[in-house]
Amino acid sequence: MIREQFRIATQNLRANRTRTLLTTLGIVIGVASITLVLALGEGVRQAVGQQVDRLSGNVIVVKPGNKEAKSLGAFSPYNTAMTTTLTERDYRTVSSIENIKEVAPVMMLSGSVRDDAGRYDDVSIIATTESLVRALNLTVRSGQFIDNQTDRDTVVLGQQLAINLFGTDEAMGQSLLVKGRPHTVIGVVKNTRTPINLSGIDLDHAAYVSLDSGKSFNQGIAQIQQLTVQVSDVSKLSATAKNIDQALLKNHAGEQDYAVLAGYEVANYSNDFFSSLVLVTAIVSAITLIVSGIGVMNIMLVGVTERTREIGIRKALGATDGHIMGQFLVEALIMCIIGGVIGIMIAYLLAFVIASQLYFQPTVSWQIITTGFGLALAVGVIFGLYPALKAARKDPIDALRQYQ
Amino acid sequence: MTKKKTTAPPPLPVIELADLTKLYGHDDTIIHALDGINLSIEEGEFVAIMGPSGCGKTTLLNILGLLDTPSSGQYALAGRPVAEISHRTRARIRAEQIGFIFQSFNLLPRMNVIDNVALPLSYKRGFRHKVLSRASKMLRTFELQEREYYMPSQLSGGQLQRVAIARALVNGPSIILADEPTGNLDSKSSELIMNELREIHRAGNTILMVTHNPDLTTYATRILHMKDGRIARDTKTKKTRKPRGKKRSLGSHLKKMIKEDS
Repeated sequence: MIREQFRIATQNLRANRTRTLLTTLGIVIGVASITLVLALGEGVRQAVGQQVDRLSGNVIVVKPGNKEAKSLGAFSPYNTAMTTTLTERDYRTVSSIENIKEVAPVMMLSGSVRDDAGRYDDVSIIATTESLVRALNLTVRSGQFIDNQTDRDTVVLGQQLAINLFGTDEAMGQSLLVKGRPHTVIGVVKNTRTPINLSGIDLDHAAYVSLDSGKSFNQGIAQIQQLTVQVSDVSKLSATAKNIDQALLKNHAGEQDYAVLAGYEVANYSNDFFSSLVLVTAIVSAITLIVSGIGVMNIMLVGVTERTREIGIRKALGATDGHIMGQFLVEALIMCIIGGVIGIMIAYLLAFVIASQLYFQPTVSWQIITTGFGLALAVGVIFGLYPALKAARKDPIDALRQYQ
Repeated sequence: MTKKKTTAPPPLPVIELADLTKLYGHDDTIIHALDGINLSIEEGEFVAIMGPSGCGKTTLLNILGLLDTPSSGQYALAGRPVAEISHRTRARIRAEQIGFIFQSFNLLPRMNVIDNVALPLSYKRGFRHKVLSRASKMLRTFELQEREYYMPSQLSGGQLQRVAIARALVNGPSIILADEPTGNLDSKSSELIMNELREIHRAGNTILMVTHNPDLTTYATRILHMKDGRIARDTKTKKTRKPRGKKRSLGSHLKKMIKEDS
């Protein structure tokens, strides 16, 4: 029976080719957008997760703000205007705790970098120590990174930034103005190609200065956005995190205005911003899908009206209400299934194109494909059911009388 | 139903109507389309139903064909009150036991001839190639085998009605309900169609045919004249044919279907 209904449905869909095509296109767009958002969103999540993996999970991150307070945008990586609650004292406290190999402070300053010729770029200025190289797995391409011995007036550039400014990544010895003060380039850091990472900073576009230099830009006060901590013994990771938490609580007079994140918590935490973004975009895409579902319903209702007489004839010849319902439902489902499959394919095509520009991999997973396909199917059932029921309930007498 | 029926005494009353009414409209605009019809039709009868427009002929036919339900009164099909039969079984009876022939042919315009003929078969389980070969065989008896893959729009009126009759007969129904089958045809095609119907009748089928044309009543064994929703005159013109042995009677078939249903 289902095969027969399939045959009837395809026959009807083929008879109204343009209509079928346009309705299916709606589903394609709906499914494609939602799959795209999920694939890219999940890709971002995994990109950060992989960085934590690379550090073999021995990383603890201390960030300002309460762990529980998760408002959209509060932890936007580029929100440098936010006042941080972490101080240099906290940095020293954490450094002195047992089982800690290294602590890399990150003080972010917004501002511009300018060379003598007036070439100019907006960058993230990161005031930090040498530990950052190991904490974030950076590779120094030429020259050296900031360390204890380096002068206050030296700067290290991200590779992309160097290219933007000087047209080449061989920028050693060049001088430029960082926030109006002259600095000499002493090193270039190789591109990480991970604009999305656990520190939430575009490292390829950053200028690194020493913490002292950073303080001098800020009336001598270190405003630390993040402490990236590496532990010596990974097995004591959570215990160490607890020690840090307690030590900082003392520093902050009992006020929990910072968050200590250990191992995979880091990934989740950094993802909050992206997760919210993905959620909002997914909702918008869901609306697209609902609209295309309404399109399906609309076309099916037109079909039912047009084929009232056919319904009457079929009923007179022995079709049950169920047969008629099945026929129309299968028709809606075929459009949605085909639309779903094409939509998923287009979504992945787009996802790989977009992701290749952003240096991360979109996620290809069964969950996402099933979600996309399942949504298409659900749209077919939900929006196909009412027209199908309407068709099934047609009185054969009225149906036969139409246009007679 | 009494025990006596198991001894199969022909002829059996296939259709029995008791005080059947059908009302249309509401309140002060109620129309009595059927107004107390009492009728008993036996297996093998060829009944012509005549009467002016609006006298309830088509309504009666629709109710007999299980497409419509009466407002009051009883309709028993092969001794079984129709009101007791489930929706599903009714649809099955329509598919397997009743053949409809309409004045306007009612072929599906987007399907070719053979698919149209196979339509009643498609609502039963069965392999498609078997269904098609049966439809093809039926078309051959109506000398339409060369038109199998034509679309309805490519056929003449007489051919269309022959396709429609082939469709009505493809399931081997025992009751044929024809609503002015020659109403849209010229006299030559009419005669052809009526000869077909006579053949079908001779094969043991019960036929009820609505017509305006008094000439056609010569084919019938019984003529009903209707007026204002009632039967004004009921004349038997010929002896009812005894159904041939090889055809299973509607009664036994129906009982089997109802048993399967419940």
